[in-house]
Amino acid sequence: MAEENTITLKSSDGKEFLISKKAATLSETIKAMVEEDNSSSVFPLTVVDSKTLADVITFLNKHVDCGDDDDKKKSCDEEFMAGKDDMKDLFDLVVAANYLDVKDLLDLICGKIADMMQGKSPEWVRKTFNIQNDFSPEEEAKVREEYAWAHEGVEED
Amino acid sequence: MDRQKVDTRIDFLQCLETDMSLNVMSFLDDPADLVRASAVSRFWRQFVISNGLAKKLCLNKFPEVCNIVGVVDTSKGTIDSVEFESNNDREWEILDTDQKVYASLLQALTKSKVSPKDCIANAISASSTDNYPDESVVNTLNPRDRFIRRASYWSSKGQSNPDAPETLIYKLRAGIWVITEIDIQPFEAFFQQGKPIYSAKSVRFRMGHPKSPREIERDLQYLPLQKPGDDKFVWTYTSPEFPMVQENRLQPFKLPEPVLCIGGYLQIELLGRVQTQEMDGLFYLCVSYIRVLGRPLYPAFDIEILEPRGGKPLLKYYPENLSYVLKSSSGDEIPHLRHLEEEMLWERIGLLENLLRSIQQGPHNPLVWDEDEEEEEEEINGVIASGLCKKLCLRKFPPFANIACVVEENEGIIKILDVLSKSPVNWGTLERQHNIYCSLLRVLATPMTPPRECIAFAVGASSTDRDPAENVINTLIPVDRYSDWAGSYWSSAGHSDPNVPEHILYRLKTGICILTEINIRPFEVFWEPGNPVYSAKCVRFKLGHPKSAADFDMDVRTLQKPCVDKYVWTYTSPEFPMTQNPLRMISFFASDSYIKKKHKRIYEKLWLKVVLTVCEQESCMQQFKLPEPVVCIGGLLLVELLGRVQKEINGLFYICLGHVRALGQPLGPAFNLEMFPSGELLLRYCPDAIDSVLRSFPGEGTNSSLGFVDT
Repeated sequence: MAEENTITLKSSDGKEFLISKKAATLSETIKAMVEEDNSSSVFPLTVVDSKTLADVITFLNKHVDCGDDDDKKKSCDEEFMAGKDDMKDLFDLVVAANYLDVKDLLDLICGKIADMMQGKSPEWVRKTFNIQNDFSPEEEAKVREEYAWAHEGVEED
Repeated sequence: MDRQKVDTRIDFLQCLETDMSLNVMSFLDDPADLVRASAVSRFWRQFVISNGLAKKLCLNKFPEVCNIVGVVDTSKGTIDSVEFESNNDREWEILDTDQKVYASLLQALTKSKVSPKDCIANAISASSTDNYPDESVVNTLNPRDRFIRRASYWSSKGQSNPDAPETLIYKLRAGIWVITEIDIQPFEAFFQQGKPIYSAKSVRFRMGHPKSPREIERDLQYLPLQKPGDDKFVWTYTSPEFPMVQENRLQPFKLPEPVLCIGGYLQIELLGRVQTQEMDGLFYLCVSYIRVLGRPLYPAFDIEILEPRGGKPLLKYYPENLSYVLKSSSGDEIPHLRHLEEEMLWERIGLLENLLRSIQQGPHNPLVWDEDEEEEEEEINGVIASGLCKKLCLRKFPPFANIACVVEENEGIIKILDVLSKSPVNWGTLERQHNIYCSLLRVLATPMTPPRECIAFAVGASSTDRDPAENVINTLIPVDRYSDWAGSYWSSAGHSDPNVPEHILYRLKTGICILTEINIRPFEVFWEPGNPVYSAKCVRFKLGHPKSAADFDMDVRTLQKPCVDKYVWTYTSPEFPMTQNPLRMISFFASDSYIKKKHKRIYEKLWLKVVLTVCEQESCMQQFKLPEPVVCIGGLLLVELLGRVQKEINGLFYICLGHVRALGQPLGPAFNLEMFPSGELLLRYCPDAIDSVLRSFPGEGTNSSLGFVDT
C-alpha cells in the first residue's frame, strides 16, 4: 500500500529519492507529471542535480508536516535557510524551484537573495555577487549626486 | 586557478531568467535599495530602469499613484513621461526619469519627516444641519468651540433612532499629501443644563473623488452645499471603524496605513448617537472641530492638473527640494492661534458669515457670554487691523483691484476712504474699510435666489440692417413679435463672408454687479419659408467700463454704433458655441389645447396668449453659464457674435437675435460705481441700503421680464 502514496524522483546525476506523493505534488510540475502518467512511479528530473533535489525534498517534506500553520511554516523556513549562504547553492535552488514550480520555495530563496542586498552599498553588492564595476568615475559620481538620499547611512562593507 | 574554482559568487541578474530576477528584485521594498542596485553596474542599471522597478514598487505600495498621468523632472524642464502612451515605445530617457521621480516619490511618501499639517481646504456638506447657518458644518474648521460671541459647532438634526448615521464631507488641499490621522472633537453644549456632549459611538473615514469634476466645480462656488453631497462622490478608500468616546477633547484616529491623497475629498461617517437633548428627547450629533493631518510632499513634489486631459494630475518633481522633505524639520511648527485663525478665514470664506453677523448684530446676539468679552473684542480688533476682509475680497474677486477709491455715504455725509493708493492710518478709517469690504463679501457670498435680470438698456450694435424696425432695443423684449405681422428682433447687416463678427453693447443696471449667466434666443424668421434661425456660430462676453468719465454716464440716444476702443474690458469669457435651435412649438400647442378646454372663455383674451408665448420662448433661450460668477465693474456687457450660419435668399449671411438677457445680482443701491474725471473708479457704499441687497425677492424670478409686455 505504501507504494501508492510514494513516488520516486530521479535527479540529473541518476540518484533516486523516495518521497510521499503529498509532498511531491506541492510542486506544480510534478503534480502535472503525476496526473499525466498515473502508471509509473519513477519521474526523472533532468535539470535538477542530486544535491539540490535533496534540499528541495527536505523543504517539501517540512511543508507537508507544517500543514496550513503559517507560523510553523515560517520557523521551518528559517531552519531550512540557516547556513544557506553559498551563492551557487542558492542559485541552483532558484532554478530548481522555478523549474519544479514551487512558489513558496522560490519566494523564500528570492527573498534571501534580496536580503543580501538590503541596506548595502553598490560596492558591497559588487563584491558579494562578483560584479565588475563598469561605470566611469564621472558616471558613478553623477548617479551618486542625483540620488544622494539613497547613499546616506549605508553599510559600506 | 584554485581560487576561481571555489569562488561561487554569481551575478544572478546576468544568469537567471528575467522572471526570476524580477522576482528577486520584487523583494526589495525600500526605494533606496533599488536606487543603489541601479548603481552596481551598467547591466544592473539597465535592468532596474528598463523594468520600471521603482514605479512598480511605488504603485504597489500606493495604488492611488496610478491616477497620475505623467511625471516631470523640473531639473530637466520638460515633460518626460506621459503615461497613456504604449509601453513599447517608451524611450530610455523616459524610463530614467520615471525611476528618478518614482523612487524619490516613494522615499518621500514613506520617509517624510515634515510634521503633519491640517489639510482640509473646505467644508463641503453635512448629511443634515439642525440650524443653518448657525450650526453649519463650516464651524467644524474652527479649532475652538466658540468664535466671537457665539458657540462654534456643527449639529445634526435630531433623531429618535440612536443608530441613524450622519456624514460630513470635506475637500482636502490641493497638492499631494500623505494622510496619517484624523482628529475629531465632539461638541460639549456648554450652554445647556449638565453640559451634554453629543459625540458619536464610532467613526469611519472614506476618501475619494467627485463623479463629475465639472459639476463639483459649479457646486463649490457656494459652500457649504445646502443638500447632502454624498451621491456626488466615488469613495476609493474606506478606513476601519474607530470607537469614539463621550469626552470633550480632540480625539485622534490614526489610520492603520498612511493614505496618499491627491487633492481629494474626505467623508466622515458618524455612526451611532449617544446623547439626547433634554428639550425634545431626540438624539443629536455635534462636532466642534475636525482636522485631517497629513504630510505635504511640497516643495519636493507638486501636482499640476492638466485641463485638456480631463483634469488628470501631472506630478512635478523638484529634486533640489527633496532633502527638505526628508530631513526632520526643526523649530516650532504649530502656528500661533491668531495666525491660524486668520489663515482659516483666508481659506474659508464661509466662516465670514459668522464674523459678519456678530459684528453687525453686535451684543443683541442670543448666545452671548460675558467672561470672554474682552478676548472677543480683541479678536474683532485683530481682524479689522489686519485688513483681512479687503484682502479676502481682492483675492476672491480680483477685478476689485481696478477700483482706486472707496467712499461711504451715510445720511448724506460722504467719507472718503482712500483704500488703494495710500495706506490708511487711523483706526476709524480701518474700521470703516473693514465694514465696507465685510458687507461686500457678505453680498458676494450670499447665494442669489433667484438671479435677476441685470441689463438696463441696449447701447448699440456694430451694425443694424433696418433702423429702427430691427434696432437692438428689440432684444430686451421677450416675445418674438409685436403682432402677427411685426417681428421683434435685432438684425445685423448682411455680409457675404460668414466669418464677419458682430457685437452688441449693453449697459447693466448698476455699475457693479455679479453676473452668472447670459441667455440668448436667436431669432427665428417666422415669415420666411422653413423658418430659418439666424444664430451665430459662437458667442463670447466681455465686461468692462468706459475709459473716460465723460463716457461713463453715457446717453442711450447718442450711441448707435459703439466704438469698442472707448472701453476697458476687465473680463473676457471663454467662447461658447451657439446652436440653431428652432422654436419648439410642440409643447405650446399641447398646452394650448389643454387651456382651450379648461378655460375656453379667457383663452380668447390676448394677455394669456402673450403669456403662453413668453413661457414657450423661455425654453428656446440658449443659456451660457459663465465658468464662475464674475463681478462686473463698470456696468458694461459686450456680447460678441462670432461667425454666421444662416443665408438669406439674397445670398448674404445675417445674425438676428430675438432676446438677450444677463442674469445675476445687481449690487445697487448699496454699492455704486462712479468715475473721477481722472478716469479712476470710485466705489460708493451706502450702509443703509445693504439690507435691500441682501433680501431675496422670491416673487421676482427670471420671468419678471413679463413686465415688458405692457410697454
